[in-house]
Amino acid sequence: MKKIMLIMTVILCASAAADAKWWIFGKSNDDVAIKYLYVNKVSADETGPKMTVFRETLGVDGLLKINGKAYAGKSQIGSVRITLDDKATWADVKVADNGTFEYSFKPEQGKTYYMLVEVTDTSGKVNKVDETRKEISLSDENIQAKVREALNALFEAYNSENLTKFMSRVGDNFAGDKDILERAVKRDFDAMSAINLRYALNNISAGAQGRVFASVTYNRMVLINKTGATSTDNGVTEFVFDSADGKLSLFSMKQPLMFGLSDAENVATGEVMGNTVSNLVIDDTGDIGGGLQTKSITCSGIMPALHGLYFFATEETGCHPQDDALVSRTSDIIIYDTAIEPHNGLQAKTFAGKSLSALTSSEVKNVSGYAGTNPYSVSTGNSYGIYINGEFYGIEFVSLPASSGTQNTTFRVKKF
Amino acid sequence: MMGKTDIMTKVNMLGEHMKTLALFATLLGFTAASPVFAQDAPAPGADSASEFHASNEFSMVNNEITGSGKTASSLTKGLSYLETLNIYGSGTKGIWTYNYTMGGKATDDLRNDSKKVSLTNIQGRATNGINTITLGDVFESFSQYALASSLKGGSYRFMQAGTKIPEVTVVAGWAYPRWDSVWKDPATRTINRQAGGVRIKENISSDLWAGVSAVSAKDTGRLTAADALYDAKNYTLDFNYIPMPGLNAAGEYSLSDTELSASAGAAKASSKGNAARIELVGDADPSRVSLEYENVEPDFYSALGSATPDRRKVKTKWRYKYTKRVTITSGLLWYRNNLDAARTAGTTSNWKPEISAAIKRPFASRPFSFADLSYKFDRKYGAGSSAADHYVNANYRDRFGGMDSETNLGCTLYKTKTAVRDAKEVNFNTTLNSRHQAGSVVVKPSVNLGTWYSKDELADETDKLYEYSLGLGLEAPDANLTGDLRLGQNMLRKSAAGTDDSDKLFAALSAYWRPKLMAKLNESTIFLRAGLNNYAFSTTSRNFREKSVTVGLNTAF
Repeated sequence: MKKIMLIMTVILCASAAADAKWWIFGKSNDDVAIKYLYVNKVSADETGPKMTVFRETLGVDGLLKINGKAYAGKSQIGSVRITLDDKATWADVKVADNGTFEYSFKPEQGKTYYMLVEVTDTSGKVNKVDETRKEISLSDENIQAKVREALNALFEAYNSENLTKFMSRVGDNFAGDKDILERAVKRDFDAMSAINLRYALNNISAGAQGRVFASVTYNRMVLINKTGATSTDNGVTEFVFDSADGKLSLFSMKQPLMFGLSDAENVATGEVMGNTVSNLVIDDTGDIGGGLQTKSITCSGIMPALHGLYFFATEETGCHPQDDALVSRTSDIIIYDTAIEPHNGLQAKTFAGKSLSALTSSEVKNVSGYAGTNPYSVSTGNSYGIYINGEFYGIEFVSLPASSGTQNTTFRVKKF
Repeated sequence: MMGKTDIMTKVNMLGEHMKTLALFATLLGFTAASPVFAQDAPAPGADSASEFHASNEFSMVNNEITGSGKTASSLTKGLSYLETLNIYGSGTKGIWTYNYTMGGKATDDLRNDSKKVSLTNIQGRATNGINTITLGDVFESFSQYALASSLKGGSYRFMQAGTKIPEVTVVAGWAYPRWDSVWKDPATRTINRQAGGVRIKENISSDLWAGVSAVSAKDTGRLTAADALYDAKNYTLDFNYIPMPGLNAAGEYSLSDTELSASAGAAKASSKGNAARIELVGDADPSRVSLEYENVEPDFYSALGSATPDRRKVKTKWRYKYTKRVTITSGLLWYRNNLDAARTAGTTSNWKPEISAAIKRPFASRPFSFADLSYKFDRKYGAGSSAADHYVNANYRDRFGGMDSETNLGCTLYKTKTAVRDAKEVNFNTTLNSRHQAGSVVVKPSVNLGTWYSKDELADETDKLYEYSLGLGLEAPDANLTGDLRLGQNMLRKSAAGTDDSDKLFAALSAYWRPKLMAKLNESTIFLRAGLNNYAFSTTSRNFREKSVTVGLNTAF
């Protein structure tokens, strides 16, 4: 806390030497100016000098609306004019007694409009017209192409671990809080490498208020730096975007999250309806806390009675009988060359010819078909549902131990 | 490599899918065609100014995945296709103007979609200037807590500009994430969530508007015994006020009344909660100041809005143009959860101050130089945890001769008192880009070098990541050709016993060509994307290689 106070004090002291008045909070009421200005329902303050609008966000009649409020301090407003061709021609705009005005025009594709707004008071004093300049163009792309462009930019920036580029596509009013997301993504990048995210659009919907909804099917493979393990998963998730500054910026995300896995609780606002996948999260240690993991067990020594052990809840691996401490607690499964030996009430069921990444939560959590057969036959090419202590897992063997010699096992496991 | 028989089988399968696709495209074509006929023979009194646009992208991809660790790949092996179509039209009929959009997708790759053919969007809107009707995909965002989701259904809005009559919006539909769920397709079926809402918004003065919303969501048709069904209602007041030029105040207050049905392992429950947020933004040179407060009670539930439950948050941010060249941004974010102390896991509080400085031309003699320095601090405590993480980052951009450079150096210190994570991490990345023109052809070579170093003090282990890539961009406007080639490698080196080192070698090529012979189709692009990823681990049974080639055609008119 002392550090924060010290930093704030330094900032305040430094401000005294600044070029301009730092304490200004809002503008002076004495000037002739524009109190607020909206272009196609987006505040002009929140956009840059160039705006691209989409047909789907225009009014149904295809009109682009410019509205705002002029003020003239103690004087009275004389006129408001708008130009769309960089001051070459001006149109008078009807202005109400309270200074509000509205102007509409039908933009044409391929044409750029250079808009400026001029407010003049009755004494001839004029606002800073050049500060209102906007380049407006109507996109020749449809909203679906624009959603893809926004998602591509986010996914590419995340895949290449470029935080600055990623955050440039997140809106200031991000529902889970932009600063929380930024720190979470930074931690994601420290925790993961070789990120490969892809998506395909399922559904989009553009609203009259400029917001756009997108549902996507995603595929993800990442390498977890802490363990060196890979995680692969896929599912369906949703995004909402805001339109501003001619581009779509991220407004909200739901679980399963694509970005900000290190603080999923604070970044996500809700969960996709009907979500059947296990949500991938990064825990405080930088390790993966969900999704799909690859485990390898190598047990060397002399047969018989030398097998891999695995505990589903703690994710511990070991060898029987070398790891005495693990053996004394009795593992959930002991892995043979063609079977697993279940313990602790574990039950299993087989999904023949199905990979783990294709399993859905609903089929794994359907308790019908589970059995505690001992030993339970397993082979590569299948995946298996595991039901133990009220929890559900999926497991798929990449390789099983040979019947003699060194016992190597690799399997993929995922909690549902 | 795929065998010849495999490819033939795939091609035959593709043929079958193409029949479905053709049917799908024909259906869309008929739908789209109607307004065009109306344009040719306008009804009496109708305005003939109608528009119709369409875009279509068809691509085929062939993926090869080899190696004993290939199950870790996120690609689907073999040949598959992806077809997306989107249409837009608008027109006028008497006093009504209308527009419509419709889109569809077809694919045989289950990783792209669990459905082979699906409707991605459909919407029709009509207005007479006062009344607006929308059908199909309806996204009426009332306010953040009330309604910020898309519905499949319809909406009606009454708005008479220039009068004191309030704006009224009524919406009803299903809160399904996709259209296939509406017709209860087994692959995408979800709980049935019926939603409806009404919003009344009044411009009280030219500087102040306020809106009240009532939204209801009711679930039926559980799929499994464990599915909980919600019956949720939200009543919300939101406003926006501009008390003086450059100052904006906005906020909302929402009450929720939720009933959760009994389900397997859980009893019926009901709860009431509220959420509130207010934001003040002052924006006028040289400062932009924002103050935010948010309180979302643990029992607040928003079925159709966006809210992070059980969180109280205060946030300030101040961006200040110290001089024409120096902008300083400082901020403080505080939040905590478990507001009613009901969570057995306990309460955690978070302090996140930050300060950064963006400096244009830090060296006066270097006109393109730009530096950005930032320090961020995360303090988290409570519920048995205590962490203090520091993030320092320095970024420098400049141009040397014909070469643009960007260098980033970051240092993160993760420190916990609960022995969860004590680590020092340093990352460094530098990129060099240049642009060379020969006639009308532009070549853009680039080099990227990066490293990440992590020292885990708890485990006394060190991880190192090295990465490099070489890129070559090409622009040939006369030939309407653009392309990009990228090669590189990531190498993770771990010191902990039992963990794998890994190498990822990658190559990616993309090329886009706009042939002139298709000029009538305005914007048609033929594209090619090819990629190679080779993953190698210390445990060689995890090794695998991905090869992917995509060719496609994008057309629009």
